[in-house]
Amino acid sequence: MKKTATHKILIADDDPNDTEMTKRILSKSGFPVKVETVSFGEAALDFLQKEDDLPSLIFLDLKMPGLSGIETLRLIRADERLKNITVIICTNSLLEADRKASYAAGADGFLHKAFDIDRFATDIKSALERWLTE
Amino acid sequence: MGPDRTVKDKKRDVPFPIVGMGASAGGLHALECFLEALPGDFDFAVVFIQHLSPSHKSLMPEILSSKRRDLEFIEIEDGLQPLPGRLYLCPPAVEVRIHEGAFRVIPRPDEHIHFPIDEFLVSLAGDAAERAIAVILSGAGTDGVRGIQAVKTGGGTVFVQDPGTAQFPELPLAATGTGQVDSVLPPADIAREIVKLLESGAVIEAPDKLLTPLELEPFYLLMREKTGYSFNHYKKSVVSRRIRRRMYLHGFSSVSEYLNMVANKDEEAALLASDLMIGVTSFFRDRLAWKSLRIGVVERLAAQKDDTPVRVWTPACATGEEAYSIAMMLRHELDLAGRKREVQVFATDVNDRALEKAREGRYPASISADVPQEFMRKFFTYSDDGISVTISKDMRQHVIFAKQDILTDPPFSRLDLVICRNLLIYLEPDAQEKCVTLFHYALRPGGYLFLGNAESPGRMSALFKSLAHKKCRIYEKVEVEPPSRLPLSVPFAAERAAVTLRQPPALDQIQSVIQLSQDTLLEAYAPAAVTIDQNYEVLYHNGPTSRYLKQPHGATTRNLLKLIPENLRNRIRAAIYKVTQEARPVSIRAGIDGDEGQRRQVSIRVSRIKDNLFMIVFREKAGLSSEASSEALETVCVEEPAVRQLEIELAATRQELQTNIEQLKSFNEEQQSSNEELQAANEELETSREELQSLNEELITVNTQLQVKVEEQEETNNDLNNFLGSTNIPTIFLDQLFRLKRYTPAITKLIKLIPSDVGRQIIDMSQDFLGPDLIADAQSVLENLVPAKKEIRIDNDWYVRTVLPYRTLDNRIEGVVVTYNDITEIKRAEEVLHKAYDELEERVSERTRELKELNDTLEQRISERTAELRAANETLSDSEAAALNLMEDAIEARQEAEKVSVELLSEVEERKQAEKALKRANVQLAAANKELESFIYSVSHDLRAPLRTISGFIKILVQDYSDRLDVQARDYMDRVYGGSEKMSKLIEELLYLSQISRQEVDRIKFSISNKAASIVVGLRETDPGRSVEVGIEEGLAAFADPGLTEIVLSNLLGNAWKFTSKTESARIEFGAFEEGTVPDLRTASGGVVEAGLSPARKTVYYVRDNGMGFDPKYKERLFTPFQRLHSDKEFEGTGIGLSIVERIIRRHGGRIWAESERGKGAAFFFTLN
Repeated sequence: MKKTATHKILIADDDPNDTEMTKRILSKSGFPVKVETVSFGEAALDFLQKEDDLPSLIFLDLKMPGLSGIETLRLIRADERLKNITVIICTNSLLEADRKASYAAGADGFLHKAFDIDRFATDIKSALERWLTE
Repeated sequence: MGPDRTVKDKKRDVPFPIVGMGASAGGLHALECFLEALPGDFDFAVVFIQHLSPSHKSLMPEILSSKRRDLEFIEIEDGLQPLPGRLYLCPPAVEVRIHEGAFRVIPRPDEHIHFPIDEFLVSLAGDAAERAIAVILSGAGTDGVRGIQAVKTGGGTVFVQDPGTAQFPELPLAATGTGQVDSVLPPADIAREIVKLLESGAVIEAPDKLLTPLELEPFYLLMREKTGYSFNHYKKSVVSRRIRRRMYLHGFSSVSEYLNMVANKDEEAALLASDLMIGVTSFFRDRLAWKSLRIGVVERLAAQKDDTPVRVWTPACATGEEAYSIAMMLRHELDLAGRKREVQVFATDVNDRALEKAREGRYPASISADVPQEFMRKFFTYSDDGISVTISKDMRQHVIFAKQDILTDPPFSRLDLVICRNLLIYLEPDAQEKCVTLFHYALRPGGYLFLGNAESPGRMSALFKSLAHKKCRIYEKVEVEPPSRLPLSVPFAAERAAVTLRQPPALDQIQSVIQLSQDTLLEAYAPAAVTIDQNYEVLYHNGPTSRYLKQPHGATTRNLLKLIPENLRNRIRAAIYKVTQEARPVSIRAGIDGDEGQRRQVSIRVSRIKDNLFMIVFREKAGLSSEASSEALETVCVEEPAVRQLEIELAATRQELQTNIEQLKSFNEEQQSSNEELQAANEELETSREELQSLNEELITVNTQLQVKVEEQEETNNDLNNFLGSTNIPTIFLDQLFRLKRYTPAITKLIKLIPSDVGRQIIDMSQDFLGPDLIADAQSVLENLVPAKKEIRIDNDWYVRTVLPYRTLDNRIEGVVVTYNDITEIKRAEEVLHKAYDELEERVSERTRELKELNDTLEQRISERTAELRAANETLSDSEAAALNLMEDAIEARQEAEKVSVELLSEVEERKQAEKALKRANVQLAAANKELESFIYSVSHDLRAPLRTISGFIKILVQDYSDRLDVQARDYMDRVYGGSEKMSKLIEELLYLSQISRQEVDRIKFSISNKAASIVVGLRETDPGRSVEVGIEEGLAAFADPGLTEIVLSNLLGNAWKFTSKTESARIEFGAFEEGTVPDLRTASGGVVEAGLSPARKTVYYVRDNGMGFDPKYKERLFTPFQRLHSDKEFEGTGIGLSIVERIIRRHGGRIWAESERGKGAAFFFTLN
């Protein structure tokens, strides 16, 4: 885990509203963060390939057009350079099956997008605390 | 008031000395010194005469009182009687005299030159005599010089301030110049000396202080021996006092001591003698008396047709004032009458020094107070410095001064007038008598005697008769039989006897024999001779002068030239002239015709025997033959034609000379008249000078007084200046005409003012620096007395200019005071503040704009979100509808399936088919269910995301932009959020619903009581404000799916919680009972419940509350989804909760029903199997 003054975070989510919301929460988290966003799996991979300064954390949605989240995760984990990036699945789904599949694919964390935004903010902050201050 | 003087007042009957102090310029200071040394209780009165300005109030009383608070200073008033121990001050514009012990105040005479000190001292001398003490202090001019002389004459004492200590030494010097001063000291010492003098008794006549005749005798002898003067006949009291005074001045208290001094020091003897020979006079002393003299005597003399000179004798003439007085008066009157008569005044005195002064003829200019102006002009010339005057040469010629002791030396004779004033009073009575007799002899018949005011012929009044009224002391000689003889030898025999006591009497006889022999010889052998004076008057005949001198026809004459033959006249005249010129005797030879017709040869020798006395000796040549005589005659005859010729020539020359003389005379007269004119002009200038001098003195006095005040003023001024300087506020003071009176140094910040600007009009000075409308403001302030404040700007500075009225102590308005208060700093601060305000306003408006923009943006967003929400809502409604439809279908299908199953039960044969159908239906149903559930799920799931967005961002909006939203926006926000919340809840419940259908029922045995309790705990937590009584039956167990049971309990208890929210003392119960029993069930609020009968023994659980309850007729609908029996207003809810509960109970195989009475509560019953 790279310890940088500013943490780079990548959000991969097709819903711009969700992205916006997450982005806001991250900026108000109290952590020095720089947030990048992509809308689907391929874009995420592209970004990661091109980027020299890799993000500390990736919030990955499950349902995206094109490559699903699981698939994207697998590919990330398959990449030598990218495999150690912290990936947290961030999804609307409540299904246990999704949770199991995520962890099986190599997710570091599984976060349900709580309907209540405050609750969601707390969840995000916990995740940051857990994964950024290691 | 001074200290108690009553004790002293008792002494009023006792005479006390009066000190007359005179001063002009510088007198105040000298008087102060004098006062310092003066004891608090002094036994004399002090009168202070000073030259004061008539137009100013004298500050003397105030100034002096402040110096000596223990002394009484009194301003003199007419009639006031002086008392000892007090000081009297003369007021301005008046003259003060003293008469009969009281002050007399007369208005100041019109002439600008006046001599108040002289006037007072003269009156004091007359009134207080020996009690008078004169003190002359600093001053200019000579006022007082005459006065002290009078005081001295009167027997008083004179002190003069040491000129070295005087601010103006002129007056003291003039005073000491008279020689009539007893002591010259600094003023403080004078005060002490006066006190001592009093104590010594030299001033006041104290009987015990008089010297006895025995004591006096040695003094007389000493004086006679040392000075040649005899004072035996002087009044003893006078001599006594004089001696006492000298004693005091030298500090002797014993007479014998002083006698010793006099014996050893000739100087002192001389001084004492001079003191005793008080021969001080003045011009025209006692004006009235002189006026009477003029009228009674002089005018008469002038009217006489006599051509002989007027002869006057003034014995005891002292310094000659009287002699000159009469000479002037006579000359004046004679001139008026047109007489060419000569005036001869014989002035005699024993005092050499006095005679010297008299001969000098120089007097202080102050005599002009006594001498008429005309005389001053005619007979005196002023010195260059104007201090003294000198008698004219002309007048000087009229007076002969000679030393003569009246009592021992022979007098003059054939006098027209004898003036002897104030001598007789000093003599003993017998001496007085002698003098009178003497005068009687000396006067020609009809001659006059002029005595002093206090004198009279006394016992000898038979010899004189007084003219007019007795007071003027003019007497006419009365012829007596036998004619008085020169009382020379006989009356003085006694004296002589005293002196020549030791001489043998035989001497007298021898003396007379000598005399007789001398006379006889003279008579027999001395040639005929006459003694003449310079006027050819024969004074003495010796021998047969009648041979040569003959009285002419007509009036008798003593004139030699008239007595001698005509032919000798000129020659004798010439001879006399020659004698005078050549200072040696001259002899001439002449022929004189005798009575018998013979011509005698006479040798005439002319010689000078004295100043103006000549002796003419006639010698006849005895034994001259007739031939000699004829020869002589011939010689004479031969000589005659030559002589005649010469005489004719001489006559002619003389005529020419006379003509020239006449011409010169007229020229002279012209000169004289122009001279007189110049003199008159001079006099005027002198007068002006005197006036100015006088004014000067007065001004100096005022000045001195004012100086004291000025010093005080200066101090005050200094204080004021310092104060003004320290205030550092620019201030200007203007008078009523807006001229600059004063300014503080700080004003130079605004305008450069210099001391010479004071007095200028403020208008003239630069207005720019003083602010606008200064004059207008000042004017209004003067009128209204209301200060005018104005903010003004000068250059770059701001000031508050305040104009205030200038008030004096006696509340008059005399101008204005203008102050400038620097408020530049304040103004700047104000400006800064304004700028800040403006900036702030700008910012505020900017912010407002921003806010407005934001508001607009927000509104836009809101509307967008609302649109989205609506869309979602619609979708939901559609889904809802679809879901309902599906549910209905499902229910229908289910019902059908049940129907089918029921139908199949009754039909055995159809069972298989029915089973198949059932299976199929079940499969269909399951599929449909699944479809339905997955539909619900996916729909719900898909609905969630946008809802989340909506509710999430609403929250974000509220959180992040709360300060920029107004109340309305917040309200809208709340509504939107509320809507999304509700939607989300609905979805959640739908999700629940779907989940429950799929979920397996896992039965276990658990404590349902605990479950209920934990739910209640949760409820309390969510709603801590409420106090709800909850009763949970303990120890109840259930055999069911705990999670689903929890949902059931949660719902029911939650409802009970909800529906008791408006109930006071809410109560909720959870319990159970066995089915089959018929419990006396009441609802929590007491309503009877019809227990439902159930076939088998089952545990029936119930949840009971005393809340709102519901309308019983709708109890079938309770568990139908989306059926709400209460409006959202009453209780919020989605309408799904109970349907979920119902499904769970059904999955358990149980049954649920409810009982209620509206307003009284509700009870829900259920079984789990």
